[in-house]
This record gives sequence, structure tokens and C-alpha cells, in this order.
Amino acid sequence: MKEVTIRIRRSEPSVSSDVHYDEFKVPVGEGMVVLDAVHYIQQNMDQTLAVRWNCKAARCGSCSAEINGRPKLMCKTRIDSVGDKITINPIKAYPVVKDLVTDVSHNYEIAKKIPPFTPKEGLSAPFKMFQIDVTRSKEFRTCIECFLCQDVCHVIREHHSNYFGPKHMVKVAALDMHPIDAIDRSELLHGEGGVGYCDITKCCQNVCPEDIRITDNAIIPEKERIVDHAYDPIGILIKKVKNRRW
Amino acid sequence: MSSKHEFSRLKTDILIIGAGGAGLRAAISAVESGCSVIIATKSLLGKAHTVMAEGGIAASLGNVDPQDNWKVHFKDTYEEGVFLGNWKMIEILAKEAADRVYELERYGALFDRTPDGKIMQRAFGAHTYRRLCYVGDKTGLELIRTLQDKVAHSNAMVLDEFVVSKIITVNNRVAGAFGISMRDGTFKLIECKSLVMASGGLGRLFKVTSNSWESTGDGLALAYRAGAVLMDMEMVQFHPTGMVWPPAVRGLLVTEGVRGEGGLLYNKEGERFMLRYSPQKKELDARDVVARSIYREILAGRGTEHGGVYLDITHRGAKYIKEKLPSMYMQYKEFAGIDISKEKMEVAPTTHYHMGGIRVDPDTNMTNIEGLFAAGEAACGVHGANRLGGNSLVDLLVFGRRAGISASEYAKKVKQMKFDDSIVNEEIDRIISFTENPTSTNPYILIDQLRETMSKYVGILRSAEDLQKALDTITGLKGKARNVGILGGLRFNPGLIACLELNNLLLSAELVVRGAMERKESRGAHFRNDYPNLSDEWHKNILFTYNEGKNDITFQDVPELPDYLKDLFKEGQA
Amino acid sequence: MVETIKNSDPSLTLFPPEFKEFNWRLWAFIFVIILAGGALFLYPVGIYKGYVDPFYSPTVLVIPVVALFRISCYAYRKDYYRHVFRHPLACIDGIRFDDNRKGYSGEKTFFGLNNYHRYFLYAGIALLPFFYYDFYVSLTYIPGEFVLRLGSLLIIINAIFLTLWTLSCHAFRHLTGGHIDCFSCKAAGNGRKKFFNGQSALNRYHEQFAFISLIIVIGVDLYIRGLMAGLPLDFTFLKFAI
Repeated sequence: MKEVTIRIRRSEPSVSSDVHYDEFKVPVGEGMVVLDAVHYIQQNMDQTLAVRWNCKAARCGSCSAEINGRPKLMCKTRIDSVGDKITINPIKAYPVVKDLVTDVSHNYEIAKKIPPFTPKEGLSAPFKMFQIDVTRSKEFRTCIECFLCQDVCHVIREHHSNYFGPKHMVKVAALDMHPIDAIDRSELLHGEGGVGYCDITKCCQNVCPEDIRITDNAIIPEKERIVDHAYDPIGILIKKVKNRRW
Repeated sequence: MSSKHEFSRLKTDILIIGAGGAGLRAAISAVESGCSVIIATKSLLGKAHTVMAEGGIAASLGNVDPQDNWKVHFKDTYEEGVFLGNWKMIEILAKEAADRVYELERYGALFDRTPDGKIMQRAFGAHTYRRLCYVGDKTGLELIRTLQDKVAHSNAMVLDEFVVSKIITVNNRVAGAFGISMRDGTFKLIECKSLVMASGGLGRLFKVTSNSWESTGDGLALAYRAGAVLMDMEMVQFHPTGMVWPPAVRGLLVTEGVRGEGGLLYNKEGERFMLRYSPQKKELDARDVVARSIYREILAGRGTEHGGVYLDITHRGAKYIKEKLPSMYMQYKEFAGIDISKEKMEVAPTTHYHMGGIRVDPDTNMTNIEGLFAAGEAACGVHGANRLGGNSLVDLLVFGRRAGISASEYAKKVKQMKFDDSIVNEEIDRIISFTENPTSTNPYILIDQLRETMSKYVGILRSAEDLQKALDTITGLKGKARNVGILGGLRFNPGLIACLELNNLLLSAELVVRGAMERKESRGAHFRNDYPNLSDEWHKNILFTYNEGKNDITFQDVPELPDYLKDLFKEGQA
Repeated sequence: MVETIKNSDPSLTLFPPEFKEFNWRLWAFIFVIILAGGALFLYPVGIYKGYVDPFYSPTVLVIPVVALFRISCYAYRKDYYRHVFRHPLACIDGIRFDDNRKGYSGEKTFFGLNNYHRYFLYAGIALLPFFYYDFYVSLTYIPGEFVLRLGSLLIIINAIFLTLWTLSCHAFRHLTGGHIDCFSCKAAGNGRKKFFNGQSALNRYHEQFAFISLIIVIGVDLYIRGLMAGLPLDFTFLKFAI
């Protein structure tokens, strides 16, 4: 049986500052994905190897890692697509808990700051909505919260600026573009959300395992909505005049 | 030996174990009623197995087929469960389904729409009318995200990556639960007045399964050891179509939607064999029938080289397939390198769902332990001997909500039970004894053996002989399991979790096998080669009670339908 | 600790996707600015036998507006943020070269001015008809005759790509429907959604249009300058009296 060499970054920062790479030789069967190899190591070679996983079907977004430097889902990356020498790092944007497991709890804190769905006044379920109105928001709802986009975003990874991050832009866009949602969250993004830090370099869009066009369909439209209320002198003037009349 | 390990204490009115659909829905009702809530989940929030549900939520809205109503839904569910379901629960399910779907929409879910702006509904196996409200083929994901958002903006506390290892009861009343937080390796004792068990099923008992890592029967084993009665454990549903090749993805679900969209099943000889097994409903017969037919073809040597049969949807054309079954298209492309619009898929049955579980009161979802509630796949009663597609998502919502309400009503009535910390210290010792243990048995190897045994002997076709073999293996593994342990400490140590799960898996496996041995008939998903027929004598639920290390098995008659429900079946026949 | 990756990933050694979008687009852009700037000031060219140089259409005075439209375009922004400022150069670990010690303010401060892209879009749209008019002029520059020459074809191709680039703009997308959450709530909602979908389909190729249109503008400019310098490139395909 064919063998591949798998190098895995090992560390447990709360215990020691030691960081090293362990190398494992793993037999490869047909169609094996990287997560299978990691499981093999865990079960037969080193039980202490920490990895987070759930569905092994690319549906839950738990097993995010950097495979040969590229942020990917371990369960969706076939070994034969990445070669015989595979280096696996945990995602770098977040603090490591142990080995391949990182602490992504920051994302759940941000999620609390985004105002939830609020239907327009006077409406009650069952709502009347049409297919043409739900398709845009639906793209963002396929997000599996793997945080690969957060990982690859330089604003978070290198600069730690207080930008919510692409994943949350997707969430905001999903809510803002809901046909009967009453809230405009772009003002939040302009302020606390820090969408101004995004320089649309599209790495997030490239790594998304669900092929959500994050930059084009979520971030830029939100930026344009911000233009409406923050950079559009004519629009702002019209609004002011209107408000005065009321 | 006494433990020097510390543990922290949390106090809450309601503890919910599991953050899938049922757990989150229960949390929402509990928070609304003003109780304090803690949700403990083995995974991160939003990763629960519910996200893998594809097809939809069954609710008789009648948006597409106006003739549909709760009565038809009731009838379909009861009949398809081969009369083993609890009529009261099914009635509740069928009547409340629509409210729960609309409620989900009120929380922000976006279903696919009909041309006149209502929620779209699709056809599914053995549902009389088009009844499944859906969001593409990612309905479960939408459900979880919607509920997750609602919970995130409530004051419920979420303990994620927290493994509950023991439920504490005092005088048959819930007092709390104890467990370990994986992320920091600390122990936590949670004192609560009521506890909702929404921990899902036991799909990972089997080697070939569509279930994710959570489904290890933890909740069933925890509740059982605490004294809760389990019911109909032998009822494990096998989905007819799971992936076969490559081996790394064996068991991965191929949605029923493929057959719904016109997919046909062929054996190696190119025969469309479902015409032989089920001339009327063909490929779209109930899951148990199709699964058994496929299995028989494989046994008879008419399977493919990888041990499956062919599922062919190529005649629909690439455009249609990519539009209607995008996830399936991607799944085969990514994992098997197969273009399903040009090539046939290889499929074989895979473990999918557990109809059995914790016995609950139909009205309150309370178990026989006071203050312990159960909902979702962990509970038993709705699906009888076979679950209809789309009925599990609605089960989560309907009974998740009811369990949450009942749990808060109960919590408001009672005082926190007091107990001695010695229970906790014993449990800490037990957990620590697994760690830093270089001479021990590797839990993964035992789990692997167990899963292989279950798939081999307790699968689709069962017999007394096979079941006995399985039981013998399980007994042997139980002996070895006393010596399991792993290297490494308490912090994020998957090996340690495997040790804890192993005991739950072994217990669940034993009950599944014992139930299957007891039930000397074939009903729904449970098929005995040696008793191939349905038997009126066995119109019974099998109950399991933990009795000082032994399993007491008793039987109870399935509650008889009241007259107004019996009439439904008369009308149907007329 | 940065782990550098070497030769382990076959796709990395051959043609990593990051290098397919190497700086060439940016350098081409800079080259063009220098070339065009130099040409404009050193050798002003207006019209040659009915061909209007794209830089002079309708007047050389609009060039700053056109330049700002290009500079604030989302496609070019991506290019210079990546390749000039390296925020980051590429997406994969090891060749990102984004220095975390450098200050970073994204589009919060100076580059926030890029948010005015929409106004340059208005100007850009207003200029588009002139390019089609130039085509017309090139066909009829001899009174009483219709002439189809190579230059006319270049001019119309240029006009088409400028149109594609302008109309595939993200800011335009906001106007065609990006700001609408509920199409069915608006008058002619179905039609508007269809238009939005069509424009969105164009928008997918915005980066490509941005580059191609730029190259063509330069090409036409060079062609006309070549003619003026006396190169025999003025081929006539069709000619008749009207």
C-alpha cells in the first residue's frame, strides 16, 4: 500500500511554549481524505493528537486546518490532490488550544453583536415571500461556519484589527437581504463592524468550501450600502430635506 | 483513592444536553418562560448532526396539495411506523407541525417558495401528499442556524465542547449533571432542577453510517444508567442509499431526493430489481423495503464489485441534476471523482436513524425520572418501527418546544435537590483513571471492533444466530473495556472522550441486540430472517430498565387508538 | 513560528493559482499610466482622419475623472492593495508577505476615498456615448461617403469593452438592484430582478473587463499615433457613397 508522510504541528500553549512538528507515515487507501489520515494517526500512532471534527462530509465545517499552507477542510481534501508530503497546521488566525484545535469562540461573541432577524412591522407568519426575493440571501445561508475565510483574512490574521471578518459579513448580508427584514445593519458594519478594514483582496472568496462569493456578493454590496448613507452627499442631503419635511 | 482535582459549580434551572434542533428549540422555550438555561454540547454550537438533514420538514401546510391535513400526516406516520408509534405523540406532531414551521419562518428561516409566495413543499417517500418544506438540500442547516441565532441572542449559556459523563439523580429526581470541558480540561458540576436530554441517536454504533461523531448513544446511556426506561432499542433505520466507494466515504448519505427526482436502481446485471420487490411503488417505496431489497440483491451476488447496487440519474441530464441535487453532484465529484450526470452511482444501505430511545410521557416529554425530559432522536415514541423522511426535523421542533415548556414548568414548581459531593469525586476518579495510562487497551480498537460487529450481525437482516454472535462479542468487549485508557491528560484529548463514549456505545449496542433478540417478528426496520412476518402478538413496545448492572426487559402493549383516530383508517379503506 | 512549505504540494511547484494573477495586471496598469501620461503631454494627438483618440474623447480634460474611475474600481483596488501594499500579496501561508508590524488601516482613512467610486461611475456612464459617436464619426468623416476601416472596428471594440467594464461595475450593481431586498415589493420587480441577475452575471467578469478594456484603450491610442507617425496601417474594408 502506498504511504504518505504527514507532518503535524504539535503544541499545547497552556502547558508549554514548545512547538514542534511530528512526522507520521500513513498508508493510503483509495479516496482517502486528509482527515482519514489524521484519524489513522490518532487511532494507531498517537492517541493524544487533538483534532476537531464532526460529520466528515463537508457539512459541518469543524475540521478546518491549513494543509500545505492552504486553508481547507480536512474532510474535503483528498490526499491524492495534495501530494505525498503533507503538512498540516491549525488555522493561524486563532489561538491554538492544542495541536490542530483552535479557540474560535471569538466568532460566537461577534455573532451576538449582529442584530437578529426582525420582521417588518405589521407582518406575521406565514409571510408572503417570493422565490426571486429569497435567492440572494440563500447563498449566504449555505455558510457552514468553518471560519476558513476568517483565517485567511489578513485583517484578522496579521493585523488583529477589530473587523468582524468575512464570515460575519456573510451573516449580516444574509439578514440584510432577507426580503422582510426591517433592520439595516450596514451602519453597524461601518462603525463597530469595521468593514472599512476590508480591502477586498478576495482571499476569503477563494477559500470558501461552499463557494459563497463572499467579497462580490456580501462585502461589496454592504460597502455600497454604506456609501448610501455615509459617502453620498446628494443622498444625505435628500434624506435631511425629507426628514425636515416630516 | 480520593480525588485532588477541583471542579467548578454552575447552577441553573434547566440544563439541556445537546445543541441540535431539539436542544436549541427546548432552550428557546425555556428562556422564554423566564428560567435560567445552560446548554451543554459535545461539539461547537451549530455543528450538531441536525445540519446534515437534507430533504425537509414534514408539515401538512397544504400549500401545494390543498387536500393535505394533519389527519393524513397522522395516518402516514402511524402506518409507516407499522403501528408501533404512540398515537398521542403522532397526533401532537401532526397537529403542531405547521405552527412550528411558521414559527421557524418568524425566526428568520427562508424556505423555498411557491409561485404564489408560500412555503414550497416537495414529495418524499411514503408521504401521501407533497408535504416537505425545504431549503434546497440543506434544510437542516437552515434550521440549526435559525435556532442558533435565536439562542445566541438570548441569555441561555452555552457550554460547548463539554462532555457530560454522568447525570445525578436523588430519589428518582434529577439533581444535576457532571462533565468535562474539553477545551480547558476542567470538570464542571451543573446543578439543575430539570434536565432535557436532546443528545441524538446512536448511529456511530455501526461501521457504515451516515451519522456524525456525536451520535454515540451518550444520552441514552446516561439516562439509562440514571434509571430512565428505554424503549424499542432494536429499531434502527437503515437508509437505502449511502455511498459505497471509495472506502473512506462509505456510508455517506445519498439523499432520498435522488430517487424522488427519478433515480432508478439497477443490479450488476442491469436489471431494475425494484420492479420485482415492489411492483407498485418501485424505487419510492418506504426506506425499510428499499434498503432490504438492495441488501438482498447484494447478498445474492448481483451487487457491484464494491458491494453496492447502481443508482442511475443520468437520464435527467446535467443541467437538471446540478440544479436540483447540487450537494449530491458535489459530493460524488469531490469524494469519488464521479460525475453523476454521466455515470451511475454505487450505493448501499447505511445506518441512518434510531427510532427507539428514552420513553417519555406523550404530553410532557418527561421520563420516568422526575425532572428528566427527553426530545428529538434521543426520545422514543413518534416513529414506531420506521421513520418517514422529514418527520425527524419536525419531531425536533415540536417535542423540543414541548420539552422546554414542560421542563420550565417543572423547574418552577420544585426546589433544587441536594446531594453529596462524593458522587462527583467518584466520577472524577473514574475519568482520571483513563488518562496517562500507558499499559491500557486502546479504546479506538475496541470501538472499531464493536462497529464492525454491529454492521455485520445487527444490520438489515437479523437472525437469532447472528444476534447471539454480536452479543458474545459485545460481552467480550465489555470485559476488555474495563482496561481502556489513553496517554495524555484532560485537555482536548479525543482519546479520553473515546474512552467515555466506548462505555456508552457498548451499553447501547447491548440494548439494541437484546431488543432485536426479543422481538421475534419482522416489523418496519427490524427484520428477522427467522421470523420474517409481522405478528399481532408483537404489537408491543419493549422496555429496558437498568437494574444494578443488569438489564430488565419488560413489555407493554402499544396504546390503542381512540375511536376518532381509528375512523381515519376506516375512511382510508373505504 | 512560520512554517515554510517547499515542494510538498504539486500544484505549488508548477503553477500556484496565486502566481497566475501575478503582478502583471498591476504593472501593465502602471506602464500604461506612464506611457499615456508621457504621450499626452509630449505628443498631444487629437484626431486623425476621423479617428478620435480615446484619450481625447470627448476632450483630454476628462482624463483625471477617467483615471479616478479606474483607480477607485474594485478590481484595481484589489490589485494595488495586493501587489503594491502586500495586504496580503497572496492568500496562502508562506507567500503572503503581509507584515503585521506595519500599521494597517484598510479603507478606514485615506483609501476611504475609494468609497466615492459611484460618482466616477456616473461620469463614466456619461462619457460612454462619446465613444459610440466617435465610431459614427470615423465612418462618415468624408462628407457624402461611408467608409469602414480597421480603425473604426478598433474604435467600436474599444467602446464595447469600455461599456462592458463600466456596466459590470460593482457600484452599478448596487444601483441595478443591489440595494433592493424585496424585488416583488417593487413595481416591475420581476423585470428588475432579471436585469439585476444579468448585470450580476457581467459583474463576475469585472476584473477581466477592467484589464482588457485598458489594454484596448492603449492599443487604439497607439494605433492612431502610429498612423499619425506615418505607418501604413489604415486598411479600408468598405467604401461607398451615401
